[in-house]
Amino acid sequence: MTGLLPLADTQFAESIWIMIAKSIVIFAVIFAILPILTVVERKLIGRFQHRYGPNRVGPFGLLQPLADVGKLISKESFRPQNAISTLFILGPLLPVLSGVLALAIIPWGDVKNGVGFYGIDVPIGILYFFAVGSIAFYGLLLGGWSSGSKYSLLGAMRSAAQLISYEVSMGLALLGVIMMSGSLSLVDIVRAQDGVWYIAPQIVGFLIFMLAGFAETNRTPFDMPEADAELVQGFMTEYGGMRFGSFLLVEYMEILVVSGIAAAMFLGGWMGPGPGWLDPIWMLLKMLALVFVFIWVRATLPRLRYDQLMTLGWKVLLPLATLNVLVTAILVVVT
Amino acid sequence: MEAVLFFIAAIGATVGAIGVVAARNPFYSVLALVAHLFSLAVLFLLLTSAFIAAAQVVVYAGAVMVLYVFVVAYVGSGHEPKWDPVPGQRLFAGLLAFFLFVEISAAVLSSGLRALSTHGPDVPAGFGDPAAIGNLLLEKFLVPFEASSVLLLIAAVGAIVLAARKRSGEPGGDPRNGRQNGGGATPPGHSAPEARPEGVAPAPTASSPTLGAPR
Amino acid sequence: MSEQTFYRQAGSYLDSVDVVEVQRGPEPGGVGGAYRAFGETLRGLKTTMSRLIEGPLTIEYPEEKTPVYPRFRGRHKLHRFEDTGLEKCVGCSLCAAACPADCIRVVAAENIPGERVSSGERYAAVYEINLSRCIFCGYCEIACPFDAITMGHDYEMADYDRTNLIFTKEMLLAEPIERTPLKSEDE
Repeated sequence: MTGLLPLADTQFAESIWIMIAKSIVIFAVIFAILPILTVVERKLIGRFQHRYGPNRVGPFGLLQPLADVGKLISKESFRPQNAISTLFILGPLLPVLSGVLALAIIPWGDVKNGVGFYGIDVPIGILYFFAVGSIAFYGLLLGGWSSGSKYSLLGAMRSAAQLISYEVSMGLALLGVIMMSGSLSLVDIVRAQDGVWYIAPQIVGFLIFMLAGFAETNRTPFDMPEADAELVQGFMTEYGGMRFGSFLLVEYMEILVVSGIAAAMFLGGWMGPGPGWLDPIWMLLKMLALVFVFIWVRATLPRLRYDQLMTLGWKVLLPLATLNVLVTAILVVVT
Repeated sequence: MEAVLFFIAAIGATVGAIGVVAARNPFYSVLALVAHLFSLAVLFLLLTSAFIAAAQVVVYAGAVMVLYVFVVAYVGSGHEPKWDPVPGQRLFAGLLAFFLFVEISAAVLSSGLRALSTHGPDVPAGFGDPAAIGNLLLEKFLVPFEASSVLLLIAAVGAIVLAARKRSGEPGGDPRNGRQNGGGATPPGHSAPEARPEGVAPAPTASSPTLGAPR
Repeated sequence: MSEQTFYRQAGSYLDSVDVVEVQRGPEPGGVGGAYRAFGETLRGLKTTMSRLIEGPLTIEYPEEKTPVYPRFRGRHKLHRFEDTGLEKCVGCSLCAAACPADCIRVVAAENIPGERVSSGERYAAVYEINLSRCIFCGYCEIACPFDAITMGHDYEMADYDRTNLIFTKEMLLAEPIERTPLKSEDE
């Protein structure tokens, strides 16, 4: 098994049962959080606009996701006549796969009693995140292209251009942290933040990463691929029922993943006061704080125009990220 | 476990490669290429080079193929003609493939396939991880590494120059063409692609379609 | 007026109007533009955050209701004299005549001395208001010489059937369930 998955810490290998148990726990926790996140987002957006948000189903509207999922499941899985069926079905599956795979590298705690509190710790670390993220893109693109609708195609094309543009800045923004910690492994990066969190020296990188994160997860102000005012729903226009639901759910999963990466790389991951068993809680709290930022920004900013999006990506974020990398490199070498 | 994965990935890579040439619709060709690249990444992973696998997926599947898909989906998937305009093209391609097959078979069989019964070479700890590759690139292969980066830079600059010149040529923005166009002899923009600016190397054809083609 | 003279006159008119200076912000783009955009983004974030802290202003309607003003024009009421218990309406049909939506139907009948219904000579044998047509203008209230009909405060009249919205005399005479809160003095 270790031959297949080269781990960062080569002396440290877990038995396969522990790995299975870990994956089940991570799955259970994340998939319990996801539906709550949907309702929390709607409630928070409501509060940001002097409203209550959903509060009819269950206490405080907490059973709203149950009602939503029930509705989506009971709906017909409609397929347009001129859609290409296999690709159309494959479309929503790939982002789910990508999101689940990306969850694996989020570190929830250090190694304790021979068990690492993370899915896997690969030496390529953050590259794994980018590699897995590129699968999600094909989901959007296949879904948009195979729908046989102009809105879907336009949405998919926009997402293609947007993802390429912002992935560059995203990678460059993380490079500063990687240079300072000297490792690609997320676990090592968190360990290196024992004293000072990287958000302090790498504030520029953090801002660029969050901005690019908004773009990568197709959130406002960068929700161009699904711009509902002009493209109906973008790449998911023709989807209905649970296929639409999985696109929707994946968006929240991607938000969690991006928040997790940002929390691990900039906010000190599981570091926090209190006994060791609090580590995963600290990590989760930091992630949720970043998710709150996602929602906050969505409640505040309007959608960017397409050319503004490209200008921001290529003419502002990319030079800034490059400059950040350069300055960090000089500082790392000097000190 | 590894053997099973190897055969799955190998079959995936082969089917993907065949799909690229066999598919009539260019969009499917591109998708087959993507599947092929992912299978290839799995094969790299089996060779304990996770970095190469990730780079393969990030660079090829994540960036280059996205541009291919982008262009193919925009330009539209017009079906290709069943027979090629150049006569004898298929026969020639078949012959070439046959000779290549014979050559590779000869090379493989002449080794006697002795390594089949062994477990392959021993890899040192940390083989193929980012640190080892970084050390190799910046110490042993520094000159080729830097040279290729300069080449890529030139390619990028060249592509941008070509794309920008085309756009400025349309309203007669290019000074040289503008003077010629004063008489109305040639329509603006037509003569622009022929003229090359001095001092800028022609961009390699590999990069110009990705950056310059959409317009 | 020919086209030319029209434009000449319009031109002289435009000349006499003060020219309004258009306020333009600084040019977008560049380093300054990026800096301003960042600042404005922060300002927007601050604004939404303060909305969050203020809390919701929603009135959750079916549970809590907006109080109405004393002169709010809701569903109609017909009145009786408090001492004698006779109906105030004498069936004069002035309200029906005043009604712009033509939603009031009055059929008058003579009072029989032994069993008086109203204080006047006649009374309304049929008094119907079709509330699906009523525009709640209050003209009936103004037209009535005896203050027999007034507008109440009830505005919850939705129903599943249109026929249920034709209110008869008995329904209008009955004391309406006071479902609507009234605004207090200082509101």
